[in-house]
Amino acid sequence: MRHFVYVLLLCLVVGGCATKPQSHTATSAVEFLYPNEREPVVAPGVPVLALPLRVGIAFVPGNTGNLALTEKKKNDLLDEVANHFRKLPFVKSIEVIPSAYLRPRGSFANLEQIHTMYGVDVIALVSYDQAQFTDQGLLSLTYWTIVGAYVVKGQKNDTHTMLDTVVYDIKSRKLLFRAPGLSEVKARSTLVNMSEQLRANSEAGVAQATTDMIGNLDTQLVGFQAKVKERPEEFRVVRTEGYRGGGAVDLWLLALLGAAAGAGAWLRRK
Amino acid sequence: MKALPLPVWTLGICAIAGLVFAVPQLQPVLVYNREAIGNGELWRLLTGNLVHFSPEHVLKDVLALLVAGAMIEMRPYRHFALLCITSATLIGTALYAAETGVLIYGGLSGVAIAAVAYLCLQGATGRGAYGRVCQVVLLVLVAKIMIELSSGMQASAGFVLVPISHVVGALTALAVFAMTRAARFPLLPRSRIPGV
Repeated sequence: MRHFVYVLLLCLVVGGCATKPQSHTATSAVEFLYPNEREPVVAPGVPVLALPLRVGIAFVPGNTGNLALTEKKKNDLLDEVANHFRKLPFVKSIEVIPSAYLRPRGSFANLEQIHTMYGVDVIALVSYDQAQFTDQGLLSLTYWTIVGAYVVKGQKNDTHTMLDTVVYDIKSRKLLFRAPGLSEVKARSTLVNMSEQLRANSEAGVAQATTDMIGNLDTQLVGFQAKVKERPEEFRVVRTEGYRGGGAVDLWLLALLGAAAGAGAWLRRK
Repeated sequence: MKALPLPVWTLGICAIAGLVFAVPQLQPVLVYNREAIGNGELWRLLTGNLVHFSPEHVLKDVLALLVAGAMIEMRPYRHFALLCITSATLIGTALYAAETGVLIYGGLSGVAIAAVAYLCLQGATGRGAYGRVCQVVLLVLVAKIMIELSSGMQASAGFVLVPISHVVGALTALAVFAMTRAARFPLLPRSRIPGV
């Protein structure tokens, strides 16, 4: 009997330390862009970048699963990235594309529709990959007391998140650059509070990965600008009207000035 | 102060703007180019105002400056050269600081607006019908700039209009006007202040 108790305890301890993924949620830009090809073979054209660029930004469509990424949070995240793009001198406008406008496995045909609807030349597609793991530490033994399940933080939760932005020129189907953002959130929770804690970790993971991704976007953009200059055979740059600003006097001002000058001359003569 | 027989500065600036337009080879060296300014070519902050993108563009800008500048110089209003140089430089600097989306800029309209505003500010302090005309023009000018600002950047022929250049031009005129008044009041007897 004593041996049976020892074996049971050992099983509990060993079982308590075992790791299994609580959840894994991911979307893939490759699956969205090349849905029917096992080995995506692409022959992109030479992108013609018409400065200033009109950029769209959207999440790769897919099931968010347990990821704490509601439509509102997705929009907030895209707005954050969009605000970063807006500061760039060669970006004329940036449109946040709602998820409903992209179909799963929609491929470039779907992007062409976005190009027609929103008039964007370049699109930034954000995909995500989040995995959550829960381990039970030695403290989880206190769950046998029932009270322990409420008060003792015996659950060890790990959340690994990756956000990835790929920027494509829609017409030429060429990948311009990409920027990933990574995060790892570790937190403990009670058994009862675990799902709430995992949700909070999921949100924190996405927020940290976003910050990391924006930092990487900066680096990648600098690299991309240098690449455009160094390899003109790979990227053609043309400048459109919005790229050039001017100060111009209009006819109203000329008429006003003419009237004032005439009135001044007439009054002097009087 | 004695008025000049010829509006030297006005004619000079308008002639240079015309020359730059007539000789396209000069334009790449003088135009406001954000990237080049970032690389140290600071003269573009000033000379960008002398570059124009179309015949209509240069004609309207030069005509406005010609009328306003000539009126300033033919009347005993001082500091016109200071006004032109300061407004042109400040317009370039403001564009560089605030309008990061504008990579190329050209046009003399900001300086022309500065000249119109300065002329009207000087005239508006005087009594009589001319003073009232200047006051009205000044009010219309302020309303026009406000409308431009609220409309944002509007597309024009070959470029987008940048309202901030007009705002900076008008503010520079106000600053130069305030400076001349502040300097003049303690030095001159009241009877010698024009328009009083």
